[in-house]
Amino acid sequence: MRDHVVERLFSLFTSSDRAEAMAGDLVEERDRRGAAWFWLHVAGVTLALVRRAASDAPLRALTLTVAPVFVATAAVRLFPPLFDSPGRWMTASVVWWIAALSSGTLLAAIARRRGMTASVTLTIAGLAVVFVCLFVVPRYAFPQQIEWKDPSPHKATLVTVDTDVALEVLDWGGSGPALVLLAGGGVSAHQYDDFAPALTARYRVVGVTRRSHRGSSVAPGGYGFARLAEDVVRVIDAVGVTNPVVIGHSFAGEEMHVLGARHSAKISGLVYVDAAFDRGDSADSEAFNAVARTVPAAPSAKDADLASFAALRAHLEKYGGAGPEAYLRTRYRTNPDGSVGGLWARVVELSGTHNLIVSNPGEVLQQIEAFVSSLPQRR
Amino acid sequence: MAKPRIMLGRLWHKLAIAIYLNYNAVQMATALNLGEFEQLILLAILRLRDDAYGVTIRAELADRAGRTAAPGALYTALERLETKGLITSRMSDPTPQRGGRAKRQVTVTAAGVEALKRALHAYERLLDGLNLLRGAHA
Repeated sequence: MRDHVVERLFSLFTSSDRAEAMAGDLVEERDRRGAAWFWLHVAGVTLALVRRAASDAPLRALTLTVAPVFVATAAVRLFPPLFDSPGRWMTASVVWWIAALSSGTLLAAIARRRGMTASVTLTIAGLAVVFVCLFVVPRYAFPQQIEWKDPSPHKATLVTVDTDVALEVLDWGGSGPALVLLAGGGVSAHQYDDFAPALTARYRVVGVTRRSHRGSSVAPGGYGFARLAEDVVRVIDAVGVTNPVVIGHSFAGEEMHVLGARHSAKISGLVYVDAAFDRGDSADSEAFNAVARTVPAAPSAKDADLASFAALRAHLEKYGGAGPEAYLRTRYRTNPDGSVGGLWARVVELSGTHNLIVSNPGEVLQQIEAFVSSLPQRR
Repeated sequence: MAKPRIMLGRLWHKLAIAIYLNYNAVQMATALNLGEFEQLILLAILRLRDDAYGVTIRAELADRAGRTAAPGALYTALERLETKGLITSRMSDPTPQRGGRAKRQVTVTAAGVEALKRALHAYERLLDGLNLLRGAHA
């Protein structure tokens, strides 16, 4: 019965009497050589017949060889979850490789038996088929993996800030006051890819990726906050943005402290988006927190407490001390009538996760606009 | 035949040379000369007289020439020889062993014998004076 199947298999590729004789030969020898030998040579004979048939009907063979490429492509397109692991993707790509190699081999074999012109034509056709199988069709099957392009409308450049250190600078363009966006720790300026385009209508926007973060060069040293801030200053100079407002997320607070303390002439403001505090003041933060917990919360100051700095001092003295008046004056603005105004540093609480730019972009944008428009004009 | 134009770009130049060399090699190979395997098969068929078919030819090649030929390779070669007109074949009557399947009996044609003689004469002339088969190295 299985012998009958073998005979039918052979007859797909050759005449029925040849198929009968071949199957008969293999059956006759099977008694002496065993089933393994039999099936091995069923496969061998089939392969030989296929090769023969292929060179007799090249076009049909080529179609059959290339067809799996399109089947695999369709499968990948229709059932992407089936190909979501590297191993499965490799399996799928093997189809393209086999198709490309066998169709190339096939055309070469056909060319060998033809004249010069046909050889040239078939060689070029073979190259074209291989190219299509290997590059064009898989590209159609996996457009997003292979052709992913950063959709954010920025121009990426490298700006040298130190010996052998170049930082990735993303320039979203735009016009108006300049904003420099600093990424949080461990991430690059691409963190602002979705956010920055909302700013370009009113501002000139530039993003910076810290040294040794993907996109910028890897540096053996230079991770002190002073040096990291110096990097930002050099970018500001190189890009030619004047007196930008520097907006930083998370770890970027460390650079912004230094920018504010040492480079205030270069910038016109700092926006801390849930950014890092200055650890210099709380070397032992657990002890600090333990003490802070024992201090009752100060009830918020009433209008009378804000009538003057003296009134504010008297109010604060009741709750653990106010400190010198000079200190209060550096924290709070003075209204024209001598009463206490808002904080110099405006602190707003926004709901959202630590990554506020993503979790609450609308309010961050609003606050940035309010802050920048509150700044005095600087040349 | 036009020579490849050297003035083309480097890639095209290399491609043209590759095609040119390949074409020449192929032209030489397709002349009606017998390959070594084909000569062995023709001799085996001649020896087997009326009983030459797949199984016996392979057995004869193994016994006499020490060659194990895969069935697939043998069938390909037989078909090529038949296309060249060097052998003919016909189906035998069905036999009970082989599950009642007929054998394809082959015989060498006159053209086949001629081609074989030509090849063997070439060997003869090349061997002349060498004494190779009697073990003395010239």
